[in-house]
Amino acid sequence: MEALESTSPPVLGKVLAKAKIRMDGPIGESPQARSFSPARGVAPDWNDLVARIRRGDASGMEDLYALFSRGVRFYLCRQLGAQELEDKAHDTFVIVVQAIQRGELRDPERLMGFVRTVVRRQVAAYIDRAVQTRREQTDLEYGFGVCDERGDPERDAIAQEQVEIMTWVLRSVSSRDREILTRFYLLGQTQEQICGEMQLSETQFRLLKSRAKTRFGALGRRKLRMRAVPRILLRLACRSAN
Amino acid sequence: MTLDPHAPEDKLEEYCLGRMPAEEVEEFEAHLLVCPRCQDSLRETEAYVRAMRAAAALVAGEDASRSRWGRRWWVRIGLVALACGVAAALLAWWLGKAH
Repeated sequence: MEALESTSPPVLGKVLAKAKIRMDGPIGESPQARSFSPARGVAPDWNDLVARIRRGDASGMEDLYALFSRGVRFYLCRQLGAQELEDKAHDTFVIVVQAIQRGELRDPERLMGFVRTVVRRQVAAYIDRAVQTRREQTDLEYGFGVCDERGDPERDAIAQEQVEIMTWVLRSVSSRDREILTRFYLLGQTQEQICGEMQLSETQFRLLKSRAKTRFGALGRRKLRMRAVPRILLRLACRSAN
Repeated sequence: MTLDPHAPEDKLEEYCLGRMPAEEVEEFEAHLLVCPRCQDSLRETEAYVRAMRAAAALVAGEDASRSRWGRRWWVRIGLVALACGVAAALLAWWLGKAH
């Protein structure tokens, strides 16, 4: 087992970078990570994991990275966007490891909640910094950092297509069903309120929602199949040309 | 030892719509950090909710303008009918006076 001599950020950075190289690709490629796959509902031995991180054992950090890297990136990306995601995730891991080594995590069983708190604080700090920077730039009235705020074109196209499918679904249902879905998703009314005002049982409400979702899924799949046909034809044409 | 169970669809929707109680959010987000399956489900639910909100706003706007147009159409018909009625009454009165 590789032991760390120091807990300074550059050393941690090296270990985390190494862990990243080993763990990237499908999450949880290491033997340890495989043994506690959350997808299978099996939790790791938190005490052992935290003890290894406290000792400065590199395998502890690798396992921490294997367990949390996708989730941390997912959370950060959801809240802050994809910009500088890797740096932000790396900073978060350094903070978590240092905090554990300083003994700030008293109960190892609370590791998931602890990491969540650190990530949330990181998000808040990034937002604060962004607001501050924007304010300073506005005060100067010149030299704005011009950034392209448009989203990824492919993602935008997919989102647009999903809205079109959903519009079709909503137009195809009765006006009463449409009103129920609009009240719930758009107007922010609760299930209890809608059921009370529209004389619906909880089962009817759930059924309506699930039917809309099924129809949305079926239409989406049909659209994907339709798009796949020209692609198959193109592939066949290329193969015959070769 | 097992991890918390995966979040059901209703809970994912609650989270996406910002209606999950704070104490549940804490637990759910902690689970989300280590659960790829829930991350994928949340991504799908989020896309669904976003599409539903956009489409519902669009269709509600169409419904409203259609009903506004409908109202105006009935008002117009009513005004025309009223005008015809008044004209007929005036004609009858004039004809009666002439005879």
